[in-house]
Amino acid sequence: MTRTLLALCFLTAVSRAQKIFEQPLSPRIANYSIQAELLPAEKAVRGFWVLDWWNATRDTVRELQFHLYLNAFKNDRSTYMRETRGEHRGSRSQEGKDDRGYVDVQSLELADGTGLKDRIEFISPDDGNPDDRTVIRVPLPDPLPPGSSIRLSCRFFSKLPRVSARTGFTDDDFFMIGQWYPKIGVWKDGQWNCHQFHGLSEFFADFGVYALALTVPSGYTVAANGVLQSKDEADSSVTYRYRQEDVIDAVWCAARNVQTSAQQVMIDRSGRRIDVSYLWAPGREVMREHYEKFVPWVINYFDSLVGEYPYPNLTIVDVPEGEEFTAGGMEYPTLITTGSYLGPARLQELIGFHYPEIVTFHEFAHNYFQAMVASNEFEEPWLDEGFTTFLEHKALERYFRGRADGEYADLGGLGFTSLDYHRSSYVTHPRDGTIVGASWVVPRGFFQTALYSKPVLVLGTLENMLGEETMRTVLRTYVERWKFRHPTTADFVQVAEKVSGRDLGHFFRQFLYENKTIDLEVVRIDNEREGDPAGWFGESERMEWQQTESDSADTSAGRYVCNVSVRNRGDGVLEVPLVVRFADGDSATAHYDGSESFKVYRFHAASPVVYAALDPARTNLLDLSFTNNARLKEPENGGIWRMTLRLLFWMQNVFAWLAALA
Amino acid sequence: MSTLRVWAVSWKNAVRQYRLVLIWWSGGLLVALPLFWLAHRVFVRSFSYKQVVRDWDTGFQLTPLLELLVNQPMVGTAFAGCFTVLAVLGWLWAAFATAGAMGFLKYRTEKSGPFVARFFTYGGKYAGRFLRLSATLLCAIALSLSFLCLGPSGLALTVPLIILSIIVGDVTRSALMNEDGRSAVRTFFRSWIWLFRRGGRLVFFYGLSAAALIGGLGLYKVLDTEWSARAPILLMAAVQQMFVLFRAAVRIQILDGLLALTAQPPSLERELS
Repeated sequence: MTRTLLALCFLTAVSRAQKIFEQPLSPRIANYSIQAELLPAEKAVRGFWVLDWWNATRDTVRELQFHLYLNAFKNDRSTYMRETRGEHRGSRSQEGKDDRGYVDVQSLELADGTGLKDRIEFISPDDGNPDDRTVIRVPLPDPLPPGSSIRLSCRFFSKLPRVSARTGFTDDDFFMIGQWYPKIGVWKDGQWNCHQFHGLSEFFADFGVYALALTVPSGYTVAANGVLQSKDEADSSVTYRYRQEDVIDAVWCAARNVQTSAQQVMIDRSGRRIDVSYLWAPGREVMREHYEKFVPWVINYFDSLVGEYPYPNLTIVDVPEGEEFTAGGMEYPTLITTGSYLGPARLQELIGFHYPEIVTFHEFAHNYFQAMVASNEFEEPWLDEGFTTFLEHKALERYFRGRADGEYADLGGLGFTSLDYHRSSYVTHPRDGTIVGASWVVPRGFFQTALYSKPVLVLGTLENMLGEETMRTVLRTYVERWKFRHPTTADFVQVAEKVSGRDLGHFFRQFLYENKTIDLEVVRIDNEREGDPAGWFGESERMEWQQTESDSADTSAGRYVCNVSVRNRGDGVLEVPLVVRFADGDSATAHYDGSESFKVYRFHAASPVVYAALDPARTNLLDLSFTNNARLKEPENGGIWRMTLRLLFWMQNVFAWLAALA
Repeated sequence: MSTLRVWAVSWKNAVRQYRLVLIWWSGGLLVALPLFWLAHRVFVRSFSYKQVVRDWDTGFQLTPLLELLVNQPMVGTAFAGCFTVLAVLGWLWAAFATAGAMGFLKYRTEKSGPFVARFFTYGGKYAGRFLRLSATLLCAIALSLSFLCLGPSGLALTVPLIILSIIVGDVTRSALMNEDGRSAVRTFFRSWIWLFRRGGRLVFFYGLSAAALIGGLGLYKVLDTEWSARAPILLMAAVQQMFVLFRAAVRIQILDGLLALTAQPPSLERELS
């Protein structure tokens, strides 16, 4: 009873916090008030939450299920560790006693003080791994009828792992505290959707209000995904109170020796203001000026492309050097972690690598896809990573438009563009799996292609089919219709078809649910002079002899039969134009959809075909090879000389460097 | 003589010894030519009827090369094999040419035969030692590269270490010639000590030469960016080769200045005593 009273006192305190939105943006199913204290010496967080969960369905709920994500790092028997063998994004989880992480539920009670801890049962709904401790079920004493809500309180102790898979501590007193508290699953379609923590999966949660009271020792700076309400300093500690509404998660970061800065970004379209806070790991504040250029741009760009970013704030954490792939590159609602990589912006510009832009555009795009349009990252991870990467790709193309060095990197004068990057990922794995599928069944080597690169090509091809404006409307409608809800792939397909007014089922089936491929090729061009008719013509008395007068190269109208042979080396079908150009400057267009693996197009023209190209505008980004899409009747070598001379120049320089060593 | 004066004189000598510059440039060109030929053959066979030849005429795209490597993996293997063989040959040639050039520069006042004979004499005499030194130098560079595992901060360690290793390598070459020594490895380690004690002027000299090289590269980049898509192919090639020639001149100039700044070989011994 005492604990319940304490909980109520705590709730009263946090409920005084100022509201952010006048009207709720989301259904607010899972609402947490969390009190947490960072224990730097123990590399842990001691926490307590009060959860108000609302049964917004027509089902009677008889048990609750919670994620205990940190238990993925508890030992080498967890499903996460078994699937990853302890390696995530090229970084290995450490195996020492202090390097492991876990979350221990110390108490779980109903509002009336009824203890539930004894009812807790660990389950493994995905793989039956009896050693996995990342999901629990808690049978309720009384069923929860439709439309009712339940209040629970929980004390927990979260031992953080050495930073890995976006959560944990570093030796430099930097704590990235994500997936750190017992988190309720999602009741969906009459059952709990509460998956285990897998090697390559992310998360799925309901929207709610989060009130955080985060206590850290004096000297620590805190950043969290909420609006800072107050900061209370005691003798040796400071308590930061944050509130965020209509989000799916709470995350925070505490660190010493870091710098912070703030920037106000005005949304051009609406005149709204967004407060952007930056937390710079030691040495990273040199990037401030650089970020302050592209962050306002990307916020405005996404606002115009897919819709309003409704939150009043955004926090960007530039993680410590060396932790770009462990703590950096992660998305949370209104808080993203980035990494400057390779030091100052000028150095990156010198070598032409745009990592800060790439990672920031990507993670901020997640604030739309998954943070607002909250698809199930366990079951359909492409829905957030794919859309996010597509947005990142479009932003990179737009931001670096007109620059010779591409968007990803400048390799000795050759721009390596975002499209190059994603195509090179796809064309090397075109048949390894499908885009749509649960995260834990995607082949490990195909993950990048399936969830990031191929979706960019599918959505890019769709954009080329529908037109940029229609695609923009599709995206905006999808976001508008499904924000603060949980859409599936079918929901997106439905929106795309409705907005475009086209049947896109075949397109999506081939490239989302199946791994059909397309590789169009112009095989040959044959021009045959169609001479004057020669021989006997007519019947009986009307029969006449005609003879060709000369073999001169007459190019009068209708004197050539031109055969253009094309083929599709894949098994997918997508209609593209076949454009042929004639020697006299004329051109003609036909259409080829690849359903016939080989086809000959015949043109009667005044002059021979000198050039034929399938999809000359390269609208089908899924074509496995662009190089064979077009063919010239006669060879041209000017471009080859230019390219090979450039190669010669590079080789001479490489050998010159080698010579300096000899 | 001040370092700046040494630097200026070394440029003057490099221009005078244009034959060495030409040898250096043509050696690199000859080593790279087989790769050029291979690339040209492969590209003609793969692309001459394709749209890409027109794309490459006006700009440069990586996509066709990536597709070529994916669709014809043997091409990548052939290039890698060819590159490896040429790199080894280039390495052997560079050791010989460095020895020949340094010998000629050091003893140029001794009129003891025609240019080619002297070049080949010194090349033959010192190439073996320079190769042993080069192997040591490669080990030092590999060690420097290992610091990259420390992350981006390791880069701050690796880059200066590699630059210093290259300078020390040159100092060692000079010492080997001055002392007519045979122990390349031992001299290499002694040269580190020499550099740290007395190498301030030399580092400054290398800094000046590096600045000249960067300036030349900047000029080339400007010309390349402005012209490459529009200029006639021969003009583009001429601009490229002018830069490579300039680069060769920088190398000869560095060797000449190096000999002037490290003209007291016993100093290396004395540093240890």
